[in-house]
This record gives sequence, C-alpha cells and structure tokens, in this order.
Amino acid sequence: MQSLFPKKYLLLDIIATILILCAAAMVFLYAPTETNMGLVQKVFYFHVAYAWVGMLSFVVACAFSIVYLSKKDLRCDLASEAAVEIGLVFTLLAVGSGSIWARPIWNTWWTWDPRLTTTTIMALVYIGSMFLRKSIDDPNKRGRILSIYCIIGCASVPLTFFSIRGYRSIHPVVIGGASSGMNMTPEMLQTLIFSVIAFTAFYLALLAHRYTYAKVREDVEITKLELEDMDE
Amino acid sequence: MKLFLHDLIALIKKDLSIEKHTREIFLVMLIFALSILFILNFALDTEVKARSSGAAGLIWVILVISGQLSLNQIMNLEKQGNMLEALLAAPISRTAIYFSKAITCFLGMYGMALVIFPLYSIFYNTPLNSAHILWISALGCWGYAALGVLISAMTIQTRMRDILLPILFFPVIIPLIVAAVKSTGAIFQGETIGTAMPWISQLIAFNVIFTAIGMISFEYIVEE
Repeated sequence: MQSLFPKKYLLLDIIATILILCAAAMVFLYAPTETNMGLVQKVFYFHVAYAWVGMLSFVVACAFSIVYLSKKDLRCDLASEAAVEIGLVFTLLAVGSGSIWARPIWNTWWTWDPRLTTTTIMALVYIGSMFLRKSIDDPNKRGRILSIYCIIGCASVPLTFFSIRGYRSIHPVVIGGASSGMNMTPEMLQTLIFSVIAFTAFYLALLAHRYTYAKVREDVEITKLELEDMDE
Repeated sequence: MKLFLHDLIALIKKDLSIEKHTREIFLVMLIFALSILFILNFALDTEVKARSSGAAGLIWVILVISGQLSLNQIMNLEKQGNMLEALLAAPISRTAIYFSKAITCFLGMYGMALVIFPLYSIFYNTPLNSAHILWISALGCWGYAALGVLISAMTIQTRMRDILLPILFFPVIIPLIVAAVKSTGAIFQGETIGTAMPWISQLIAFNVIFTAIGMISFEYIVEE
C-alpha cells in the first residue's frame, strides 16, 4: 500500500527524533544539577520548551487563519486546525510540568501568577475553538468562523497578560529579567536553548503529520460525497 | 452616513419593539441576575469585609453571566424564520446590522447594570461612593456587547449554539472584565477617579480594540 505521508516529511521526523534524544541526553548528562532545587530543576528545560511551542503554535494558527481569510484556501484552515490541536497539548504540558516544578519549590501546585493564568486562559481559548470546529459541518463556514475566532483569541490572550501583569508574580524571569531569577551556568543555558530548538523541530514534524491527517480526512470526505452523488 | 444612521436606528427600533412585545430578554436577564444576587447572600453570609471589597467583582460576575442570556437571545431572534438571511439580503450595510445588535445588547446590559449596582449597594450595605460608576460601567457594558454580539453571531451558526457561547466568549472577554472590575473596584473603595484612571484607560483601549475587531469581522461571519 502506498504511504499517504510525503517522503520529504520523513527527514524532518528523523532530525526531530535525533534532536529530542540529544536534548534529553543534555538535560540529564550535560547540564549540572542545580544546587538549591536539585533534580526537579531539570523539569525547567522541558517546561520552557513546551510553553514556547504552545505559544508558537497559537501564533502559527493565527497566521494560517489570516491567510485563510485572504485566500480562502481550505488547506490553511486544515493547517490552523493542526496547529491548534498540537498547541493545546503543549500548553497543557507546560502548565502540568510547571505545577510539578512548583510543588516542591513554591510549596503549591498553583498560584495566580500572570504567566500561569494567561497560559491557562490560552488553553481555554484553544479548547473553545476545538468545540467550535466540531459543531460546524460546512467546511467553508467552518474555516471562516474558526479563522475569526483564532484571530480574536490571538488578540485577546496578550491583552489578558497585559491587564493582569501588575498582579504579584513569583514566577522566575530567567531570560531578559533582573538578577532576581534563576542564575544559570553556561551549560544550563546551552541545554535550554538546545531543548527549545529540539522541541521546535519536533513541533514542526508533528504539525506536518497532523496536517497530512487532516488533509487525508478531508479528501476522504470529498470522495465520499462525490460517490454519493454518483449513486444518485 | 445619513443612510447608515437611518438603517441603524430602524434596526434598533425593530429589536426594541420585538422586546417590548415579547419581553423575553430584559426581564429574564434581570430576574436571573436577581436570583444570583440573592444566592450570593448565602456565599457571603456575614462577611462584611468580603461584601464590600469583593463588591465590584461580584457585580461584574453577575452582569457577565446574566448578560450571556441576552446575547443568545438577541441573535437567536434573527435565526428564527430565517430573519438573518432576510436582513442580509436587504440593502443594509453589515456594519449597521452589527452596531444595531451591539447597541441593543448594550442597552439591555447597561439597563441591568443600573439596577444591579444600586440593589447590591442596598442589599449588602455597601456605599456606591461616586456617580463615576455610571459611565465606567457603561464602558464595561459596551465592550462586553461589542465582542459578545460577534461571538454570538458565530455560535448561532453551529450545532451546539447556546452551550458554546460561554465557552468561546468568557476566555476572550477576560481582559475587559479585569479592567472593568479594577476601575469600578477603585471607585467602590472610595478612591479618586485619578487613581482609577490607568484601569479606565485600559478599559477604553479594550473597547476600541474589541469594537474594531467586531466591525471588521462581522461581515466574514455572517457571509453566506
């Protein structure tokens, strides 16, 4: 049976797999263990990567939505669908991994910090858009409405962060922040950057797979409708 | 412009006249809001401090939840008997349709705010302090209506309809509600308008953003 998955994506899969394995090796073997926090600090390398991919995916979904509205190309809507679904998984992973880190460090699973709150609200917007997608059948109408909702979400989430940024925050600001955050050794920083790159490659590979799935599903739907028409 | 205003007024009159005859929106919303106001009594019990410090937040929660009823109903009105198709086929600009719906919803929300604010003040013995609340709550209600009508126009075209509205609407309206709660909260606490100004400016900015989004995207949403 001929594979429906384009061969060019296979290279991306291989690169992503190698990068992820290398990142894991770097986290556990190369990066030093943090003095105060101990092993639990290693969650941080994954947590930042998840949060980055979650946000990236949200922007990607929004970009595809804008292109869809201007070109009315259904493939853009399918790509946006793929980005939303993967983004949701990563956002939830970011919140979950953050919680695992926070329990021993902050002594609580959850705090109403602007970053935590905004990320979770972002997940809620994603979930909402998935429900919306499921409850519209007409592909053109679905594409139109979903695109608008994605754009509204993408505008609203930064505004939410902006409006609650003044709330007290205990979330460490590692990059670009004052010295109050975690101080990283060069090895730690290298591991973090590598992990983010590895997860971005992994994300692209996932996006390619999820998009192909959506495309195949859509093609099957169209063929089904054509066959039904022929029967009649 | 003259034609636009003429259409807009005609559309608002149409909605208000339907409401006048059916009384399906405002009264239902108000009774619902009153019920929550009474339920709050059991939650707050005799916590005097919580009643006053949480006043702004609680009132906005009541407004947000009960306002959602009007959002559902205002767009459903047009869905019944394919009224929306008729409206779209008429030589009226989409922007006029959008604004008419947003204004009708705003009138309902603001009317409710005008009842709920003083009632909360009476029931929970919390002074309103300043008349500034009148226009600050109007700002909050407008942003709510401007974005709410848009989301409602999306959800009436789906299978899940009414259930979907809060799921889609509440996560995206949060920034506006935060600004509205903070600015009315400052007034409730007896602070000057100057202290609340950063929040009020945010509220105005969010209103402008949400209205612009609504104006631009309504056309795409109702397009057939």
